Amino acid sequence: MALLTVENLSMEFGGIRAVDDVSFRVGEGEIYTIIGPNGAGKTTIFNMISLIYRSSSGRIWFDGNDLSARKPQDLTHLGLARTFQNIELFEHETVLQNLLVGRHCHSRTRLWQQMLFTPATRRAEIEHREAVEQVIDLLNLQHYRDSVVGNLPYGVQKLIELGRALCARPRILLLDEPSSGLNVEETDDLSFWIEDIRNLLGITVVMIEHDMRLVSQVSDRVLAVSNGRVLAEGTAREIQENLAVAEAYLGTREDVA
Amino acid sequence: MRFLFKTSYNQDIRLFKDRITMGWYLALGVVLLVLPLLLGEYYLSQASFVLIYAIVGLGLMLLSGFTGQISLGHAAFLAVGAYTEAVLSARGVPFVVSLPMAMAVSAAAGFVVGLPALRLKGIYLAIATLAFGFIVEVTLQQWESVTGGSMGLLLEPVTLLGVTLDSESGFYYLALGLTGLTLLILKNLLRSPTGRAFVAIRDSEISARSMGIGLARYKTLAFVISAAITGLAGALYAHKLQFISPEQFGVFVSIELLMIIVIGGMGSLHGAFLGALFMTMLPEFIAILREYLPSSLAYQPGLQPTIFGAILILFVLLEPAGLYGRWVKIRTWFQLFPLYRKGLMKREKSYVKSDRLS
Repeated sequence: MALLTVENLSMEFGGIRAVDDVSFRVGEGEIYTIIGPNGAGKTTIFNMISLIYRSSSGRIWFDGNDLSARKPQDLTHLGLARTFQNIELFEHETVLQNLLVGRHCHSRTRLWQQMLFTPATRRAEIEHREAVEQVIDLLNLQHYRDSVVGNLPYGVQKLIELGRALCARPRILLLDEPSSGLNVEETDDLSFWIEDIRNLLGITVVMIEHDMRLVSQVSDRVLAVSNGRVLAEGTAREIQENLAVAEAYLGTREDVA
Repeated sequence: MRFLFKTSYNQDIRLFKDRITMGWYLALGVVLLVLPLLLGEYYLSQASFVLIYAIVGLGLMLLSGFTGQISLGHAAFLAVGAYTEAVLSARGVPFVVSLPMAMAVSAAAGFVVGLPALRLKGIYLAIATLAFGFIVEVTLQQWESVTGGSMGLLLEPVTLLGVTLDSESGFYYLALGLTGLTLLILKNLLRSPTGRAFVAIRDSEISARSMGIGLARYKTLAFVISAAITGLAGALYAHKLQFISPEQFGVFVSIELLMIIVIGGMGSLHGAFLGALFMTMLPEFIAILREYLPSSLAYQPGLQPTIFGAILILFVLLEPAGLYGRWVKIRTWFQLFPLYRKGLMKREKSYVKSDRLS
């Protein structure tokens, strides 16, 4: 059964159809990539899945739950976490604090317990910390633990955002252009991490990505969109050889002539 | 420079960074405890005012400094707390009951003000809270049967469990105890998930939300807690002055309260105390200054607001991190001596802002 099902999703901004009747399914344990030229509506699809936008029509099912009845803040509790294309970190705080926010959906202590900092709160805090440390170890963030996020290099900030989403221990992870702004070496590292996230942590990954090398290295399936519509779906190789996709990126032969 | 080696997760959780820091705070605590022996009646009374302002500062700091919600109407919460306390204690309600009641009524007002905060941000929220401040001030003037209108209300000294605290030092210890309690509760909140949620909302609402933090719940909570703390300060304030009237809770007071946290240093609990100290001492300095100014200038009614305004502008321009930020710089200078460099505290400005989706 598919973990994430998107059915006939559309989004209109005024008279513009940013996303037009998009459907796809992502199975448990898959790495699924959405590609497309700028303005194709990829991030809009993500924003609809993460409920930041309400879709004009269509349905999103996650693990048997209809997401249209949910609020954005419910998603991590259900097991869906995301990162942002432009980094959205809590930039005045340390890396550790940022990652701990990722544990928010797992906090069970009540307000009065936190106000008095009861032993239960302390135990819970230490559990959160242990979970965070695992992510720190996975992503090699040990050196940055106590640094203020705003001062760190862009590549590290991207990684912290990924780490923060991982701290929520989601079942599915939405990555919006994880490699943008990274150099070649960092992108290579990223491809290993994405595979580790799937293979070691068992997290399904849906990502938007432009770097075709990364896409073909890690993706099980690729969805190509352009002008809000689905162009093709298939393996990375199939997509690269698809004529419609090439036309969307490069234009048709007639355009040249 | 001292390096701290960490060997347990508890080290990042506990209240004091290490034993030396703890020693300093204990020393400060001892000084505060023996302060009534060191200070005369007048200065002890000023110290009580510092504590009251510090409590308000803590409340406002939680809201503006940590949750990023600006409030230009905080004097209204102070007023709600003060008037509730005055009305209840006039009807013979004991202090141990009336104080929580004052906090509860103020918290309820905070809840109501928090509702528009879910939709408004920045300058619009400032205007909404400003309007709330006006509404409360006018209500206090007009609702004469309860508030006594512009005539105000008189209060008796606090009677705590049968003991009347009519001496300066008695009230000082009461204020000190309540300040310590407030500080401890806030400190606990800030090192637990709720505090992190507040800070997350301040720094990026959109990603706070996608990490599972309900904006409505936490913004309202910040307003409620902040208002309750301010109500507590209000109740103390009423007993301290033993007379309250609407003009003590005007818009200018709200701005003074905001100055406490801006001058103290946004986003730090220390800032609330430094700001409160500064704001209590400033009128004293102005009074001393008056003696040296030509009389045509010294007795202008606008002198104090002008100086307040000028200081606020200077702080915003020259030291946005406030007194606490300045203190951190001085401390670092000594720790790193002689290696401190001029631009050490400079931070890269971030131009990626998260307002576009909200």
